Amino acid sequence: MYDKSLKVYGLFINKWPESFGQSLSQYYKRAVYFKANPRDEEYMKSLFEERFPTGEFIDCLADVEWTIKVKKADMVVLLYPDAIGLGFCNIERKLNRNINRRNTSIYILNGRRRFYEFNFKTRICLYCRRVLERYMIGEILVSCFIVVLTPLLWLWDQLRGRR
Amino acid sequence: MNEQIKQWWEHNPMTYANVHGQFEYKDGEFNTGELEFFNRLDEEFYSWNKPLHNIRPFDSLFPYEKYAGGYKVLEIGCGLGTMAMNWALNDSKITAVDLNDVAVLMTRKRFQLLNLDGDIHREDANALSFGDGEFDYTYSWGVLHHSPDLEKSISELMRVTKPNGEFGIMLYNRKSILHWYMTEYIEGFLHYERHFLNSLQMASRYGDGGRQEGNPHTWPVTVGEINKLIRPYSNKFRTTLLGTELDSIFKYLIPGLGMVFSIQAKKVWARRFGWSIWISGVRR
Repeated sequence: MYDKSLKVYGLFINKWPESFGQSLSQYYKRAVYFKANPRDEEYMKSLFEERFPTGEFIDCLADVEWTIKVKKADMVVLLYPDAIGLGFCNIERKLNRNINRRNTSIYILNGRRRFYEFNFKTRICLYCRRVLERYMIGEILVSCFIVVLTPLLWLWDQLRGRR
Repeated sequence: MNEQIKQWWEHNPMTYANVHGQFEYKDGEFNTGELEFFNRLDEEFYSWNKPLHNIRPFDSLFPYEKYAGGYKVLEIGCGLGTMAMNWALNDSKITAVDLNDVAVLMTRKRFQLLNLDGDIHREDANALSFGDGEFDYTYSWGVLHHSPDLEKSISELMRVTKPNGEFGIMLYNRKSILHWYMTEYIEGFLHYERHFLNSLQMASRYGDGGRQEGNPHTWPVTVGEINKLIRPYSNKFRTTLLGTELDSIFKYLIPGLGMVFSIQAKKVWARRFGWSIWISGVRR
């Protein structure tokens, strides 16, 4: 339970499209979306209100003055609809510029219902993961491995009579 | 825990719909309990397992002909009754049991609509009420890895199987591309969930219902572990890896990879790292 006298703001942004087109780039974005599995605004708002009944939910796309509001915050909660805050880099940068870290603590509450502190270590951690997820670096490496190994395994199976 | 598992599956039955436990499919929503709904559910379930059907659903796995004509067959964990229905249509004496009342009611409804005979009732897989060796063929499809005591569940399944009777069990495979990729890599590592959850919690959270909030208990096994569990009951059994999910995995691994890879190429990986382990054999 948190101290209800604290001024808490929940920052939310939804950069996920409602639907995807048929082009290759859209197919790619749909794959990223599927893996990220983000929650919708209603879910995140409800999750925030459950944890912080006296907190204020801010949609950063709709409320352009959020940077002014958070200057007076005791706590800011970054409401990631997915697990690692894809699309939140700008918000985090603006937040760091506009608050005094001595007076304001920053936390993350994500769509997987995890709550933890946003500090330098977690920021680096999340940033690396965002790059890996957005550009499918792990997948590209594994796919190369799969493409190379498949004919060899296929041949091995043929030799062993497994079809 | 049993009660938690029972409640969860009552509220989230395996409908194979767009969202786990719901009733909306790509072509619309269906009313539960109606024939149209059961047909749509079956169509979806069969499509998830296309390589396993020849003439009849799952006939590459199930010995239908051998157990037709009044042989006693038991399904542990019947869900919404698709497989039990196929055994009833096979003229086997099917008994279908499940831990939760919704599954029992829905399966009974299905049988009623199709005018099929079967004994469908509630049972706990860890404490079956049947006598020893009561059934000629027993099977369980994608159920027992949800049991908090798999060893006990297997023991009970074997107890009620006749000596020299046969069994078939499908369990999730921990050493599979799906588990490694979707659970361990995507959720565990990329999504930082390993920081909060242990292996069992990960497998449960990102097993069935994983796109919502997960389920209370899923523990996929390995081939080595299942061999150890089965050996006391059978010296004539085989384990086969089924990778019917790999189509989807390759689609999401890199968009387009699945389209480029032929069926033969996917088979190479399915038989080594498929998500389902099928154990079939003869009871000692």
